[in-house]
Amino acid sequence: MVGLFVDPVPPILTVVQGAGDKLLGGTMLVTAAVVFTYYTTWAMLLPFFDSSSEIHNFFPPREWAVRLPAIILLVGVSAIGAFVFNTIIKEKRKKQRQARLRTA
Amino acid sequence: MARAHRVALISTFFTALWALVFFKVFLVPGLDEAAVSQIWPLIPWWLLVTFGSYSLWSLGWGLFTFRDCPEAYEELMHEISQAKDDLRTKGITVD
Repeated sequence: MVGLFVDPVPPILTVVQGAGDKLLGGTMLVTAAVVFTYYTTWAMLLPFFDSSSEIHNFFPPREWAVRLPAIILLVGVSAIGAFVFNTIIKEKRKKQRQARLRTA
Repeated sequence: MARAHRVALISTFFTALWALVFFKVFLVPGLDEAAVSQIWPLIPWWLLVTFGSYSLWSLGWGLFTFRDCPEAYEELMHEISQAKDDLRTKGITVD
């Protein structure tokens, strides 16, 4: 009979899998909080501080507060576009191969 | 009004407001000009970063609070293989 019955995962592994999820989830939470706080301070709060204040040492020059998100946005959109393009090409090749097999 | 229309309307309204102040057609009353000129252009980028952070938070939270259920997993895997067999008999290629 075509199709295999997948072996059930032993209970120990599911607990370990849960721990991995929690760790990754926790990391994402912390990263999101840090990124948001840092960027908000950088973009929104720094201009209110005197230019001689020490707080400016913790942040790169403010042009980068625009350049960094712009670069990430470009890279992200390009990555998505490349993935979509790749998938379309793959599907086209598959269709050509199947058409060739049928006519052969 | 559908939610998409409401969202589009509200975001267009605020975008227009932002653009008007950005191009100095209006001045925001009661705000120091120098600080505003430094902060105002960054608002769209800040919104983008905030959206990204919120999305990351949302995913992380879902992962963190996800409850494992082994029996549901086995049942689901069985159903998946059944569905794949069914589709194969109907001539659809399934990995």
